Amino acid sequence: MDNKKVMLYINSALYSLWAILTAGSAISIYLKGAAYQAQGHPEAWIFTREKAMEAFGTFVPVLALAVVMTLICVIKGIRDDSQDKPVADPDLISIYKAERETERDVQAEAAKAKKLHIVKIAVLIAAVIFVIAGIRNGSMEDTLIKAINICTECVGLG
Amino acid sequence: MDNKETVETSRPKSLRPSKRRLIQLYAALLYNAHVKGFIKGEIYTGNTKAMCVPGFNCYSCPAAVGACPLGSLQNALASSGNRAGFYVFGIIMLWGLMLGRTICGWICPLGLIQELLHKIPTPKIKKSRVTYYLSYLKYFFLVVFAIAMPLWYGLKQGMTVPGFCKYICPAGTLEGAMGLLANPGNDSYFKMLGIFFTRKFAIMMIIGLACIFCYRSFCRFICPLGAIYGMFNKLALVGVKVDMDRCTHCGVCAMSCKMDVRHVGDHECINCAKCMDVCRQNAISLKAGKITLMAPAAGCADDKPDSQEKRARAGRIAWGIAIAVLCFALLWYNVLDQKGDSADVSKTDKNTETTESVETAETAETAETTEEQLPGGNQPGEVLPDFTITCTDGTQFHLADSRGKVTIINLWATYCGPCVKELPHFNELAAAHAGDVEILAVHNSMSKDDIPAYLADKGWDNIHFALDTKDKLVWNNVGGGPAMPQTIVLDRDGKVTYNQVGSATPELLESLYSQAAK
Repeated sequence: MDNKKVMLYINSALYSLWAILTAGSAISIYLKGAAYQAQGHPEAWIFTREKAMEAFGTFVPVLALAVVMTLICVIKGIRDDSQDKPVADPDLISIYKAERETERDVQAEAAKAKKLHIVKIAVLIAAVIFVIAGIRNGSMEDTLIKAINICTECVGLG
Repeated sequence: MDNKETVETSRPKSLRPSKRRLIQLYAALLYNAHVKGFIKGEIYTGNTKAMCVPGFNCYSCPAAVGACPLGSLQNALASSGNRAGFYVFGIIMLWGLMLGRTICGWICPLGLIQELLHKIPTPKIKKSRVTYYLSYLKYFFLVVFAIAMPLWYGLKQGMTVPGFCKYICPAGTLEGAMGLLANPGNDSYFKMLGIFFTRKFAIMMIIGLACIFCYRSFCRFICPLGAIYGMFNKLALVGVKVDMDRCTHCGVCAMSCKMDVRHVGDHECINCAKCMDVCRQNAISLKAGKITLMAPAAGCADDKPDSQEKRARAGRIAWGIAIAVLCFALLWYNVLDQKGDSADVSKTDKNTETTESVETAETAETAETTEEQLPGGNQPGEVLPDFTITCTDGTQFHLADSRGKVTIINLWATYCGPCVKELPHFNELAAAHAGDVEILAVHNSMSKDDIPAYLADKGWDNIHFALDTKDKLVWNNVGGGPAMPQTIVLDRDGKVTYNQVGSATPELLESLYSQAAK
């Protein structure tokens, strides 16, 4: 393994480590806080800004190191360009080959295009009717009401 | 992995971002034009939030100026027992018909984040038969989390549970939760954080990490919105089109694509048009109907001699208009439009707001404050100003009459899942301490639902229910914001002992009651 490849692996290890440690610290804060709440302190806060800053701050050096490593790789132009090349997986190639065979059937494609055109018009009419019906039946207002109130559960606040 | 083949040392081609990257950035900024929301720590509450933006963008993000189509779809499905969500269905269909998965490739902020994460230099996972089959996983997420779960909870339990937002959505955690928590004015939101946040935070980290190694992991394997738009891809007006007269069916386009496409323009294709660069026959172009938006270097077959020049000129005009629109949007949402902010109760000015709103409420027809107002506020230690509100059963609730008892005010809404979930706990508390506790649950003033009909079969008879007045009498009085549920506990003298946003457990309620009853 040459140095360039080693650098890429180190970089990936640093980011993975940072992500695992950060997620792990969140889980740790939760477990400790939940245990404390269960001991008869239902009002106790599981997370606080201070706890979060302290926990995540611990791993900032790992992230900083990963960012420095990234910058070095970018400056030196080190990257895994395997994705820029056409896929060589024989299984996938067989799928593409089968697909290309169907593409060759020009008549079938033309018939499909005609059908699609009809479907397109039908869907457009349905969409316009739906929007008008939605404005009339109040579902547009429903959308507004939900969008201007914070859904605490949706965003993961609780 | 053969080192010689896969790891290359090459100078970056150019630091100049591509046209697609600029459009992605533009869309992300346009969806999130309410930049001052981050500074104030509040979400935008103006009327443009009735409009679903095409891409994945959480509407609880402080900067968001439109609604998330997936969140809106789930909420519409959850409330389909009351009203069919035609509006959201129609809007999604229109976006799908116009753009299909071009949305994913060009104007989705989450797509942009994924692509930027993937730029981090690490060994990459190439697409394979495994990723090809994994790409069907997003249909599972669509059916189970985004459709079945909201429908089931909505129709069977009368609860709004947007399954995908609640359990998975990394955009909600990143833009919504983190965006709100980052503001020091929102420290009280930390109170709510528990298992939901921990789980979603871990999921967000995993997805983010996956995106570094595997191109657009969320988009390819999880995104239900991508799954929906994928179904429209063949119908869409805008998309990558193949000139069959030039195409030799060599398959290089599909083999070079980082998405799990079988052929250009299928349900997995995000119309990024990168395949234009690899097509040796110059058969691929990005079109809107018959208009060519991007053509290969050699031009399209139907090109006239001056077509390239015309396209370049049209492009410059389009950019000019787009920048003007963006400037106007930034000016409008951050300076000119005060309406979108005034609906909020500023966290720092809660007490001032309360006094003002109580004074305003004196003239209201539907509710009135008592003539003698006690000085105070809504923070712990302060005496909550009196108010009177009409309950759903027609009776009047006078706050002053509940002196001598513990009073609990709960702010809720039928469309707020956690609110509905915790109301039975309040009912049980009222039953357990009958005669010593008064519980008033006030529904958000904005509602299209029939609240009395909703409550009819719930059996929450120990709670006084009321719909807040249009001028938000109670909401403003107690310092209610856009986040629900909120619980306010008053002691026997009417003094606030607790005022927090977040779900209440039976244990917490019992503890709050004990403290206030002392």
